[in-house]
Amino acid sequence: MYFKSMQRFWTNIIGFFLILIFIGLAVNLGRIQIVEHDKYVKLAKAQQSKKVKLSARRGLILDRNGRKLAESLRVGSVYADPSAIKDVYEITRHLSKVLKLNSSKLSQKLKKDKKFVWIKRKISDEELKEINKLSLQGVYIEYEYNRFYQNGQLGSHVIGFTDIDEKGLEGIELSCNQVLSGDPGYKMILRDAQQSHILTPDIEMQFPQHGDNVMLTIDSHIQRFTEEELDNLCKTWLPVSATAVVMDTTTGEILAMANRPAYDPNNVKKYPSLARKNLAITDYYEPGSMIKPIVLAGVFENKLASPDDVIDCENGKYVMGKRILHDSHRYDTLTVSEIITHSSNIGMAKLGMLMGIERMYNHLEQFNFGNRFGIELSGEQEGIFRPLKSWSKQFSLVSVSIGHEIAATPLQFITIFCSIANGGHLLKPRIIKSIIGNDGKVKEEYKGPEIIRRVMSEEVARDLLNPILVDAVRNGTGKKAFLTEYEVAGKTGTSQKINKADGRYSHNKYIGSFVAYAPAENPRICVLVMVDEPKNGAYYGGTVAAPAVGEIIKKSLRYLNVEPMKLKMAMH
Amino acid sequence: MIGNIRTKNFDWIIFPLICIMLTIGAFFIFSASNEKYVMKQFVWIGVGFILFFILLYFDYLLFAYYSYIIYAGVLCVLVLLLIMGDSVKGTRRWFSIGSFSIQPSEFMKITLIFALARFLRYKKYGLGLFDVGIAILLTIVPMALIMKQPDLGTALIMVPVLIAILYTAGISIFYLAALFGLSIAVSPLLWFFVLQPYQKMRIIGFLWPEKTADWGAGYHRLQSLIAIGSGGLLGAGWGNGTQNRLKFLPERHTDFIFAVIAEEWGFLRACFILFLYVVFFMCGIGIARNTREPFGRLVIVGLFTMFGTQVIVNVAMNLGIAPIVGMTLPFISYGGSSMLTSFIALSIIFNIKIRSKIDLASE
Repeated sequence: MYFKSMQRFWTNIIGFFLILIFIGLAVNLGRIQIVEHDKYVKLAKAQQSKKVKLSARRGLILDRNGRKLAESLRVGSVYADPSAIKDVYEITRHLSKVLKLNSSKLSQKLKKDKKFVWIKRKISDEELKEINKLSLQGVYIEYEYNRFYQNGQLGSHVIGFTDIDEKGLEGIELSCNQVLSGDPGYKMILRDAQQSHILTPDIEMQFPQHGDNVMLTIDSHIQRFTEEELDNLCKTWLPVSATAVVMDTTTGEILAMANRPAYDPNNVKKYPSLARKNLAITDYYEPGSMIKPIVLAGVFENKLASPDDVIDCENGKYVMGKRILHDSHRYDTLTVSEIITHSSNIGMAKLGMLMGIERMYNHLEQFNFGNRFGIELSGEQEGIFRPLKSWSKQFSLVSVSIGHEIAATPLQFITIFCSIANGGHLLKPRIIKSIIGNDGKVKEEYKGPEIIRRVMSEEVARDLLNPILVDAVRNGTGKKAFLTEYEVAGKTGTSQKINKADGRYSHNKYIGSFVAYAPAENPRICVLVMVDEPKNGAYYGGTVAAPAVGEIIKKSLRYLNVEPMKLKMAMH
Repeated sequence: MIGNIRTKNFDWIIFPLICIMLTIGAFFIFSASNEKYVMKQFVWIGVGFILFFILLYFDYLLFAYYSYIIYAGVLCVLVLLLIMGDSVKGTRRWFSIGSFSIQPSEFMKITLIFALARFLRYKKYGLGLFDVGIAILLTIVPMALIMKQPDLGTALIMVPVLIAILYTAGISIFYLAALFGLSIAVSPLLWFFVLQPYQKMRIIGFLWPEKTADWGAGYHRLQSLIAIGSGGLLGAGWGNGTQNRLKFLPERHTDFIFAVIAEEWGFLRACFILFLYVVFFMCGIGIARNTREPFGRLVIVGLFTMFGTQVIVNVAMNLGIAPIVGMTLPFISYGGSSMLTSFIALSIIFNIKIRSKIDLASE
């Protein structure tokens, strides 16, 4: 009996401890499952789900009529998971044939100890079809967006281009990158321990916010006329570069902006860096004689002279201390009006001197010389406009009057010149017309001209300067821009380039330019053409640039349905 | 009374208990793998039940009679296995028969219990140093062979089995203490001469999980903890455990099936599983208490110690509080040999209980 009860006692003890052990296990189970539940749920989520980016479609770049200039299209990109590839040789053979790739480089890629390598990005539709047909193990297609510029070279400097990841690098693509790119979305996908993706219906997801569209003030027709004329003049004069800008005189909107050399944004790498530069805003030039009407506006504003006053032009040679001023043609005397028509440097110097240094500085300063206009394109330069204190008492006044010691970008200068055309207002130049959401609704619109300030009275611009500029085209240096259908008002400019080596004016390198607006009686557009280092024996702006300006004006005004002069006269 | 089967002694608590475990096991094997494994498991269960009833027909004392021969036979098989067995993941544990594989080390556990019980059954009042030495030798030889495979879990289970049987056989407290001391003294030798690098890694991973989580040793433990922890009070629902379904949890249908159950069924139902085992062991204590025949008594103690160690170590390693050694959850985990072993053990327990012999020596 004693033994039995002892045994009962000890087996009870063992049973008790056994139960204690199981209670211990249950307590631990509860600690993990209830107390530390949240911690483990978080850990589970972290390793089981993966955030996958959903790329947003980049917005369109449109011209003012809604024509597509830049567009993002879905294309396939081929990538591989080398760890899932068994027969590297076989896969290499197929891929290198279909995608035209170097097979030794490809097989090296496929042998890498990685889970992801790009094979070829942005393949053609035919290639995509072939790859899909092959359905190779470990080779996959990812769909991306690719930027297409259907007009190729047309407007390339304004539009710019992107890198392979659609990040804007130049032009509007760069300056409006934020607006165009939108916000990428994401989706959470579950993944298993082998990292292969598993789609589940109830995944967390955020749709991408596609980029907004940017509508430019550019008119692709006028852009095309402009580029055709640039090509023509380049063929004839073989310049280092040439630039043209067309502006709406009443609004400051840029209708066309082009440079030569140019590039095809679909294939940027093929072109040298000079071809990618938008010279219209990134380079500045001395305006030369083109500045004369601007200076004259100051003379008229201050009532220092009137168009019919006669000035002694010293027979083409005027000694001013150490400096001798020349005219290209000798004139004994000229009226103020004729000084512009024939572009007399001596006459202009004398008119400038009437202004005095301080008045001249203040007059030119209000035209924004030396300051950026803040156009929505990246890389705009401010030009050169020296502060008053560094003007030399003897020469600066004369130099500035004939367009030296001062420099402006082509964009700056056409904007300044437009103030004569529109009756005295300096307008802010515009390249963006509106921002349109991807739902088609206009998000932002730049309405009407933004007037920076009045820079001359309407009387000076319309009644005094306009007839003089018309005369310069009819009878003066700008003859080659003369049109029978539309009255053109303009001014030539020819300036010597400054030698980079010694800082002196070169005697064989010139910039020929011409700026004009039309129709003179009711200006619609203003055109500037600048030709850098023309060859083949000519360099005058009136010779190398004026014909192109005339052609651009003619084609553009016809396209804009502006009534020709003769028709009007016949109707009267 | 020899050979008298008392059908009223058939255990109507343990039998339905085991059926519930088998059912739950099949469901979670399906959740953790696929139909193929469930069908295989059904085959093993079927074979297990047949074996259960066949063995029940023979008097267990017959096994006592043949126990040394069986012991020697299985030992030979283990030696053969080391020489020519199938190597899976660098280990030699299996013999393949068609698409089924047999793991002889599982059967060794029962065979050892028989041999120990046979050797110690009449030594109640005179268990000397020599007898203890023989008992240890009987245990250490198969243990060493199994460790060599290597199968640490199955080998280590033999230590508590030996101690429990020795204790029941009447070993003095002094010898028992000396045995404890000896095994602790031997364990460093184990570390340097027996354990494989991956086994050492697992022990390090268990001792310092945070430091080793990233180099694999702590991976199993961490994944099991994440599975159990994200189960919460009520679980994700059967078939919905993400740790399980996304295959983060290793050995889901075998060693870590408890983590799958905890993840998908939650705390309350996982506790129910533990409760089933507690009932099973309480019944075991009852049977041991009522068995007067010494061979049967020692075998009962050995078998329940085997089951108990397996359950406790398996659950503890799922909970991250024991190092990870290969050990299945009896009647629930997938595995042919472990299932057959469990059924044979169960059959013997029933065999002993049904026949309920009296202690021949004391009468």
